[in-house]
Amino acid sequence: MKKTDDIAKLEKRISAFKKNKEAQEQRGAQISPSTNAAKGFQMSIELVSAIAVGAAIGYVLDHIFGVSPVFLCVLTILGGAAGVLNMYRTAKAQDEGEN
Amino acid sequence: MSSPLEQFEIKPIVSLWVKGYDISFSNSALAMVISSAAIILIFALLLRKRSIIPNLAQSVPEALYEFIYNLIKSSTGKAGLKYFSFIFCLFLYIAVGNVFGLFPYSFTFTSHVAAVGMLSILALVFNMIVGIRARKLGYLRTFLPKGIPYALAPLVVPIETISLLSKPFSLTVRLVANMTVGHIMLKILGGFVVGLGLFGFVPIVFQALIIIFELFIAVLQAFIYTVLSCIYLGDALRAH
Repeated sequence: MKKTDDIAKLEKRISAFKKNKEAQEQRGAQISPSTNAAKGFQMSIELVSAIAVGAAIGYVLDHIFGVSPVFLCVLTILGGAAGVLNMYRTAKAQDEGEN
Repeated sequence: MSSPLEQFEIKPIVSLWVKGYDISFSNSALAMVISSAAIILIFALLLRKRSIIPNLAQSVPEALYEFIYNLIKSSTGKAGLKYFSFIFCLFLYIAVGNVFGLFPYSFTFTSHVAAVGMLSILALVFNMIVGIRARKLGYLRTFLPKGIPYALAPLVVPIETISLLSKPFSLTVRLVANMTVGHIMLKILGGFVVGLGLFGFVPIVFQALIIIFELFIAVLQAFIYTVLSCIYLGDALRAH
């Protein structure tokens, strides 16, 4: 009698452990850079870095082709667009991670 | 009192000039060598006795391994697991570099744009090669996502190109800014300890708390860098 009790207890413990592990795995699947502050910081960096990279490429192209400041103006604006695009994609990825 | 920025100065240890280029072995290079050697040594030491049932020493690298393994699996799927070794090395190198910089008299090479930027560019080139190998010409779809009319190509292609090229830049700036700020703060608080004389114990308490916080930031930033590299790798492997 005692033995079956023990086995039932063990089975209960195993099923509880399995449930726990599944829940943990589900939680592990959602990767989002921690806090809201970190998210905000990431957004700002993404916007600024795209503009900076666009401006840098424009500056280099201007030097190569000698048409300063045509490329600088155009690519800085396009950099802003790329920054917004990056931010949008990050926000979408975070939304998917939360749901 | 010395400047709080003095700790970031690169000083040559062995001066070496080749054809007008400075390739001296600097304190930054020494820090990199020490961190790399530390990773290899610690792993070799912990994995000295390998058994199926791990003891405490063996379970530390195994836990790290599994952690990064699950990270890659969840962000890139099964296809990304081939590149596990690269991502794992990246994580260990940055994490150990960050933590190594917290030791007194050491040097934080992860606070330099040159060092981290090169690493990020390396990761970008690696991602591009992986993407081209996996999707062949389909990789060009990165620059013109599906569903966008060809008439918009002159506008979308430059935007997507800048978006792609800005990724290593944002990775670099994030890590470098976090490391630099933390170290400057520690140095300034350290200056207060000396300047306040008898009341110097107050900043010491803060210093102790901030050191713990910096340790956390050091590992967290390495983790974020790795997560984002994984996401970019996933983007390279499949279309948006």
